[in-house]
Amino acid sequence: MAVPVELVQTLINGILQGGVYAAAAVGLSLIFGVSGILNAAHGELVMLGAFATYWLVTLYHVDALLTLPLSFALLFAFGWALQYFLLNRTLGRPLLLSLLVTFGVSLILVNVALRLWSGDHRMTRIPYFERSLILGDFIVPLSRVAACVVAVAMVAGLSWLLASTRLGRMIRATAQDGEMARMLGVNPKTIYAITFGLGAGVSGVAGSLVAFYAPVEPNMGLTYTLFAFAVVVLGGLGYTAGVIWGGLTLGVAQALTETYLEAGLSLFVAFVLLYVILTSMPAGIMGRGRLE
Amino acid sequence: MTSIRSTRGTRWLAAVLLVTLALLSPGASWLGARRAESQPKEFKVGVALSLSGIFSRDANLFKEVYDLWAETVNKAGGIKVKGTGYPVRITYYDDESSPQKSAQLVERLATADNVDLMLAGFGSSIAFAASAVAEKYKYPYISGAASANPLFEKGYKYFFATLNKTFEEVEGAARVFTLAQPRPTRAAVIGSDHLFGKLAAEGFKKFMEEMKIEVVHYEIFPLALTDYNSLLLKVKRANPDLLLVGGLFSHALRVMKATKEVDFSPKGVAFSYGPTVPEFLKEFGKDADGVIAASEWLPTFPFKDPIFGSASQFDQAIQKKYGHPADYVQAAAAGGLVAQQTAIEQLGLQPPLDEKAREALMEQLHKQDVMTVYGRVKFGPDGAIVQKPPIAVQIQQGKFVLVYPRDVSGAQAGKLIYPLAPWRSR
Repeated sequence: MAVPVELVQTLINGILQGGVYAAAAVGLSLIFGVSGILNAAHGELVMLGAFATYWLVTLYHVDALLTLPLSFALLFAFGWALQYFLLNRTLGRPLLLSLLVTFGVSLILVNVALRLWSGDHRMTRIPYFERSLILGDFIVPLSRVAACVVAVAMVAGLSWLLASTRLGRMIRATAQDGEMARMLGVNPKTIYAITFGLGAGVSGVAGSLVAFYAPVEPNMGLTYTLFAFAVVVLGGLGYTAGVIWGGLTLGVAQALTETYLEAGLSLFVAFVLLYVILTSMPAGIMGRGRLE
Repeated sequence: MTSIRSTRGTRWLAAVLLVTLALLSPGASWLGARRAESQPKEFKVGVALSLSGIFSRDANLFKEVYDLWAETVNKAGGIKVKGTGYPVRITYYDDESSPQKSAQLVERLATADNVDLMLAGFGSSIAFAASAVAEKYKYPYISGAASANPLFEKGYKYFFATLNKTFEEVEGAARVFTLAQPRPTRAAVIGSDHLFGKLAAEGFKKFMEEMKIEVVHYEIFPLALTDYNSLLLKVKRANPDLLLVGGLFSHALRVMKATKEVDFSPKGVAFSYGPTVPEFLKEFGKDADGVIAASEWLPTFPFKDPIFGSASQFDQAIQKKYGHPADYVQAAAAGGLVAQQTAIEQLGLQPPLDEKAREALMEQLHKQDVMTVYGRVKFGPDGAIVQKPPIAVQIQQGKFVLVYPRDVSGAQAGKLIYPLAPWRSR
């Protein structure tokens, strides 16, 4: 019975990793879905969240789980300001401009982080997360479970906020037709800033979750930008809840590759998958993405 | 031409893009690198180093030694040539851990900055690209952390390395297991996908086969791997006695963490590089006990030179200035610096050094045989150091203990801890 054990364990690993991918991508999906901005600095928001948790735990001995709301608040404020003072100026301009500006922002963030914190790889020490649950033949690392559970809860919460609250209705209305929303008394610039704040906040939390189990360093963002783009495309552009499916697909595909083929092919598989989905199902796995 | 007009908003964006461009410019360290081109009579020294990116933690160890060297030499009145002391001044550029960028910056140091001496960057991948440019402009390039075998097969005259070639470098960390009781019979070898990581893994594999230990799993993993647990679980299922890892500090960090998370407790663990970086002990504390690392130097070795003093004095100087013990690549870098300085003094070369002077310097480096804080530095015709005994160190109660071979220049090896306790009982 060795094969099913290995298969199930691989699926567990993939699902746990997929949850974190989903968390890291949901902010990107939300921001693109509402304001049409392709945020190239997305991974750097994840990096800032990871550093927030690292420093709060290391310097102030804040409990790792308690850093999550703090990380959200810090990144929300940062994201709000970024949109309000900078990115709102790119609205209505070609997509390329927002891509360029956010790329610039990403370079500034990486270099400032390097100046402040150097390129060291830092590990957050969270003693109660260092062990794993051993369930018979299966091993489930606690830090990953926590990351995955929080990630899924966060995506669910965000979807609920968009679907069932007044703010969510205002965000959706602005996404559908900014002019019409303005006529009904919604200020699109404020909504865009709140949306970017929310997107940045959840990306910060994703970074904090990454800091539970992986080293933190200023250059870590690029990987998450790439994976987040892949996850958003797999799940369907502009369909926020799709990131769960996109994340799980990517996580499981990579885990299967690592276990049954070789680790060296995991990136290759991720991008082959992306290519296949883009060409055969451009609206994402669930077919609910936006096609333009 | 209607989309971008000269509005206030566009100017704002232009300003942001300008700042970005400035930060993007090669070696963003321009902020700190103040020039004083007109100052005469000093050795202008240039180095392209990975101050950011994946090798930055490792490369920072080099910067510490280079700074310590400059400080020590300048305090002693500079490099003494024909009775006159010439201070040294180092210009750093950040290659962002990119070999291509390193090559560009070395070219810039050679052609725009007209430096007299070039110091080496960290790692084989960087040296592979940068040494080609150094060769072109005739600058001796002595690395204390570039050991990949192909580097010595290019026929370069200006490239030197003070570490053993990669294969020999991991030999000690592999052969140490001949001392293990009960004798291990199965090993897993993994390596990160870059020049040094792959070669180290190949070296481990080769020595295991020579030692008649079966390699039950061999795999090269990508630098961007996000989930180390799946990889380590697969290794665990192969049930090896030993886990041997080729890679750098960040890989050692991830692999250690993953072995704990997936509850994989091999009887012996060895890394080609990583555990001797001071942060490793800081990160893992007593969890690091029993981990073996390839090394080539310890502060207890009886070596000395006129610049840094004895090995233990060098260690203390690093400890005092940077708050951690000296790593062996730092000693290897120091060995290269001492060799180059000795050659300059012997030849009586005054700054500025022209191409002819640098050629003479290269020839002298090939000829001379000097004792340094790192041990004997004598280069072979291919630029590789005449082989030093490969050693293995083991972390025992938070300290590095020589465990292989039994005796290095009079320093005695301690007892190997084997097998390691399982994670659950640590």
